[in-house]
Amino acid sequence: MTKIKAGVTGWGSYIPPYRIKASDIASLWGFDPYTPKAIWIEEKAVAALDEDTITIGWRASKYALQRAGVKPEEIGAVFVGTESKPYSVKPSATVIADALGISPKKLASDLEFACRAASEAIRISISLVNTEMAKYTLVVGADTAQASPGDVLEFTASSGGVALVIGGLDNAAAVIEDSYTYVTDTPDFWRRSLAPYPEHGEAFTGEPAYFNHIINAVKGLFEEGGYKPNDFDYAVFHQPNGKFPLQVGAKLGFPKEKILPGLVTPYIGNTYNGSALMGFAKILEEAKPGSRILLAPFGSGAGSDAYAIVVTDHVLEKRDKAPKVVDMINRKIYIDYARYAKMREKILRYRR
Amino acid sequence: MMFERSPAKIWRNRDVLYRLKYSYCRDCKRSFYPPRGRCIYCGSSNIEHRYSSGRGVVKEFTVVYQTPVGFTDMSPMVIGLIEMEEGFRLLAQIVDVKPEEISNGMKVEAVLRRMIVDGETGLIYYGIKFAPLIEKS
Amino acid sequence: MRSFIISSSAVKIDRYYDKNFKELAIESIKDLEKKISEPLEPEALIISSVAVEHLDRQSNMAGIIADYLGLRNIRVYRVESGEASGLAAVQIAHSLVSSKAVKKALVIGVDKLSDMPNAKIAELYSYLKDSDYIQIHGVSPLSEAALLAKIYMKTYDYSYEDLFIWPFTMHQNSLDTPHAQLRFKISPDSYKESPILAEPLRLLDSYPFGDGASALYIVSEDVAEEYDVNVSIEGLSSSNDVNDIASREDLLIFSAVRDSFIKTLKMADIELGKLKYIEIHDNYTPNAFIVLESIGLADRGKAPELLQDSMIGSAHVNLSGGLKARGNPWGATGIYQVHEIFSALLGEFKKSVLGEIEYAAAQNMSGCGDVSYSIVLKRVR
Ligand SMILES: [Zn+2]
Repeated sequence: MTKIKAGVTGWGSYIPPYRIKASDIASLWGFDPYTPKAIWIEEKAVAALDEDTITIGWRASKYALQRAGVKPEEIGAVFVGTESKPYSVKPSATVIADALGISPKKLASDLEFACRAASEAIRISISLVNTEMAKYTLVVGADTAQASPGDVLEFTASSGGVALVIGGLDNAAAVIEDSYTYVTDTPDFWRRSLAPYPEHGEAFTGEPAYFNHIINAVKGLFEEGGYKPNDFDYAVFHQPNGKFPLQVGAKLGFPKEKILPGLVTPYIGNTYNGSALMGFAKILEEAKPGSRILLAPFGSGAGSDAYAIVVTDHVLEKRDKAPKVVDMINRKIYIDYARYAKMREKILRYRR
Repeated sequence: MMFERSPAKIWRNRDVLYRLKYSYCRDCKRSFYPPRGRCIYCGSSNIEHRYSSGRGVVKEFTVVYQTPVGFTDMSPMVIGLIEMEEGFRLLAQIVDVKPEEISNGMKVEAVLRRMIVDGETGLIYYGIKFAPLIEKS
Repeated sequence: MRSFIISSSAVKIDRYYDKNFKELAIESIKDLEKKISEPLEPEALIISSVAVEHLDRQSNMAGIIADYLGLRNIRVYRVESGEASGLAAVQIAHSLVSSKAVKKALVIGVDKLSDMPNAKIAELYSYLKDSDYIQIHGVSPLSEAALLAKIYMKTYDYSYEDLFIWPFTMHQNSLDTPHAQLRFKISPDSYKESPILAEPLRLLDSYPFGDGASALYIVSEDVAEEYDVNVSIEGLSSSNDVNDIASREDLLIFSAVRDSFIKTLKMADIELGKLKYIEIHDNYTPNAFIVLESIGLADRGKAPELLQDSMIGSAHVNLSGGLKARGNPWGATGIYQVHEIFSALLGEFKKSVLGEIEYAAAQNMSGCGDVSYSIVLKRVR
């Protein structure tokens, strides 16, 4: 068991209020009306035209700093995990950092590993904090996920983000006990450099990719840390849809009662880099101190990390310092497909 | 196609636009935005620059349909007269709320948004707009 | 320290797709030239325009127009002070002449808002606001005026329909204004059903976009003495306010309008009551009322009630139809206003309403009173 002396000092999330119903997408593109139910997606969050990964990441980070109670100057690194960078070249992390008043004396970069980049940033942060290269780091997982109109991905590809302030054990809302990573070259989902939308191997994204990597990461964590499913009160997996997390949980021996509290995709869609972290943030807002959480993000390409995280008493004083995931899930402005198409720039037009 | 808006301009204004930097007059104790070197109320140069908490209240608002080029995406665009906790007022966009649900006295918070996007290849200008507080459900 | 206006002219405000800036400016001085008894030989040419750089991709407009007019070896200036450019240009001419730097100055105001689509013109109009910190929020004088309308209505307990008196009166007045862009009456229904620009303001609360050019010939006293009728610039001054209306302590008084008007009356050494005719800058309905109250023609909140048959107190206001109906070709607007009050003093404009008058004034501002100029003219003989 590796000795980690790092924890989650603060967390924040942001979900745009706009929602499109999965049934509207199914009806427009002529899917079998049962399709959304088959993958368990009810509706998804849509970013406004003036939002992007930077603005979503900024908002989540602002809330994370509020909960952390950390001064912006104390942040020594800012990482943005995203696969929807507003600029191909020009970091998002620098904008978010400057807009939050984080000092220039820091590391800052955007990481890309499909939906898993922010999770990699957590692992990097653990080492920065453990080696005292940074007192605190800011990890942002945010996306305005793209999907080709009419592709099955369109049901779930949504917008939202989560930010974590990673620091030492003092004042941590949750302590990271252990972590394990499993990465291979598995081409389940990709987007070429100038392509507007990703491609994917459909069923191939399942067994060899999602399931294989999460299961190996979690098993690795169990073996190295001596854990078994019963040691965990909650399990949060990457959630590309509502069904996969329940299926992978079952394979690993987790009952759905431990998975459902952190399963948010059916209501807001898959926020990609925010996906598993959004469920994790929700659990931090609900769990009793002492609860142990299994967190297992996954990113196509492919890789998964598994974390054992224990909630501390500090979580209680931090919860109400910023809006909660559940508040944002329940805050909705419904839009039709036309407005969604406008907001996600799917209408060919001249920009004015 | 060359970009049309100055990268230098976005850079030098970032503190004001990203973080609502404003001026506080040490003599008459009043605050104002945009920040200036001289007090707009008493003329004093005894000024310090501060950053706003981002918390404010809507004093009045209008829904704009004749939006200028650069802002047509936001149409109908809500412009609010916002009074900040620190006492200064500014005009800025109100987003993420239907106009019929806005009322004077409504609490809002500053949120970072895209202000202007320079064509297909130029820079994205970020800045502060205002959104209603996210209420507990 | 006086200067004199001896001739003026104005083209009808319209859509001149077939004329460029230069041609429209030159067109505007044809009548002016006919009314003077000597060759047009100004020693200074002052061009007022707000948007020529943006609409025509043209700098040095004054030098180029001087070239096209065959004027050589003279001073040329291009003046831009937002929508108040017109009177700012007149002030430059007045300063040059009254300081004896030149004896004759030609002032031309020109803008062509028909050259580009409305959204572009709306963008250029927003350039009146601080581009770094105010315009970037999407704010323009339109949204400011809409906010002022709401605050005005709430503060003084008016309904939106109560404001109709202004556009109605303006369209009534423009019917016999030869150079007015809009010469038709409007009904309460057409008012309430016109498209919303920024609620509560509708199309008929605003000015039409159009092309215009107007010119003045401003000369020294000894040159003016050659003419039968003399009109002098008795007072002309300006004031300014903060560009962000949000910071103003009193939103319902335009302090720049008030202060410049007070200074101008003082310079002319007359009381407000002496003015029988005033042209004001009514770019939006609420602004018209706030201007009337700022210059003291009505108590605060009383302008809509006091306005009757385009009279308020003892003064006739905007007999031209104002910006609302005569039109507002930005840099030319202040020049149109002076052309109107000058012509009225000569008995050549709105004589049936005004009869013979001794004094007349104009007020020309940018946005919602960000910068304001005023001028008082007197018929000397
Ligand atoms: Zn002061």
